[in-house]
Amino acid sequence: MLMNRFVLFPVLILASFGLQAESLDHWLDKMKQGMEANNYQGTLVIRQDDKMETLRVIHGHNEGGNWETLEFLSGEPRKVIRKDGKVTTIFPERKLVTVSQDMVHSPLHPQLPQNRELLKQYYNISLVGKGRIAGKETQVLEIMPKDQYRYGFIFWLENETGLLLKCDMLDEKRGIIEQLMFSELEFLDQSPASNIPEYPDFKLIDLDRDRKTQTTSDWNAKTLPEGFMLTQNSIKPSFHGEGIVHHLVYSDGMASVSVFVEKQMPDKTSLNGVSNMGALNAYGQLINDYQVTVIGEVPIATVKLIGESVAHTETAMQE
Amino acid sequence: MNNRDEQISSLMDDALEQQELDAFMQDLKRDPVDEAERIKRYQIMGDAMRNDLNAISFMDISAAVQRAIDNEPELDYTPQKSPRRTFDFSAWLRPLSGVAIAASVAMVTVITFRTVETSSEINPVQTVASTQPSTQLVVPVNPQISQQIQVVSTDRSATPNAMTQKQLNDYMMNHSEYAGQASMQGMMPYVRVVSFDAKTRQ
Repeated sequence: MLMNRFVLFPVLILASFGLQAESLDHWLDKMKQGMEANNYQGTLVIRQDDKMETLRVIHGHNEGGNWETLEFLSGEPRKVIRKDGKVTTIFPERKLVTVSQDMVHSPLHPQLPQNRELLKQYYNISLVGKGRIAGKETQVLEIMPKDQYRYGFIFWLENETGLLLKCDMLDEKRGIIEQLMFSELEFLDQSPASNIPEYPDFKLIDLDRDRKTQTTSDWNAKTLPEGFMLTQNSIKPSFHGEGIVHHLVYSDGMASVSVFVEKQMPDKTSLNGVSNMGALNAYGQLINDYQVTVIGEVPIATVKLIGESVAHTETAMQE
Repeated sequence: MNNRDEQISSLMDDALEQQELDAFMQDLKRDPVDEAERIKRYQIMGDAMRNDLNAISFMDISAAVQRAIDNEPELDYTPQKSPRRTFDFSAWLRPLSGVAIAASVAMVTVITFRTVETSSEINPVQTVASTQPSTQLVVPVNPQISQQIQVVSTDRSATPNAMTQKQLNDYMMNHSEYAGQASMQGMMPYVRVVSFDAKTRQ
């Protein structure tokens, strides 16, 4: 009898872990589906520090794909329509419409990377309980980093659909850096109308007409936190109109960091040290005549670590 | 603590007589939102005192958020030329050519970054080959070190000059454009820019 208990106990423990893992994967799958395969409209609230912003969100899904409309309820009236790979932004007060390619081919909410097992190497992912958001029951999912080089997240996923109703970004002390939440949400039986209205009297600007970029910068970050990899590597015209800027993006699947390198302009100052605003941290330094700036939604330690290791490829190879 | 507060406190402690409870519920109907928020606060305080605080409920700001939305004034914002500082959220969507375009529509965009001095011992956790292909997974040199990082920061509240601000602003917008592609941040960078927009207008 005693022997049976010794055998049974570890079996139950293992079974428990197995169920937890299965359930976790179930919710991760559900979350991904929830972002895409639903029709809904609601009010989205963004909180950063002590400030709040509100947006009206309408999301449609049909055989043609997904589309969504974001209408800002605070500040200057603006409406953004993302559809068919294009972003149309309407500024009614200025009688202005801008159109551009959708560079961020992503849904409204954060999306988990394809390689879930890779993510688990750097984050502890767990189901931590139940919650209620916008009058709907939710499953709470926590994604906490295993080191101090990235922020944590708490997701509230609607029970039936897996739609993300609330997202908290947490610092290393579990303090809330940013919060995104539906205060009100209604699921729709059918996809809402997706017509982009015409504004014949408005000025139309195509933001892509002069877009030119070339790939492969010869700059590189030699030291990265675990799990970060290069996901973008490009050279573009400088933002101030003279010369070029090298732009590298590193990501671990959750967080991302940009490295900008450009020739220092005479008589112009640039960031030297660390700067921050909300969840964004930046680090800058001068390497020979080049200004290196690292910026991302990661802790200071991360931008500093990466920034201090940036070097020209030839320089890096000599070391 | 006024009489109403005492009533709520007693309610939370389940120490309200039935007659008092009936009277309280009648009063509650007069201003349900305010009382609901107050009850929530007392509930949290009670939970905290009993060491029974639920982290999720504590962080739930739904009541405050809904209230803020209900009370939100209609802002009468009229775009102004410099020196008013505004943030062009549309720049998140804008490729490089948009910088010139933005000037043409008189949108000056400056974000207020703060300089932070750090005192830290940062140990590198992985070294990357200088010719690393874009899809290659980097290999950590010493995975244990990352667990030992201690970062101490002191905010000296020094603000970068306007030129540096403008540069950081450009970088931030460009980063946001690509951040969603690279990570699960999705639209968060975009939303963040919107938030900045609101800040700079206040």
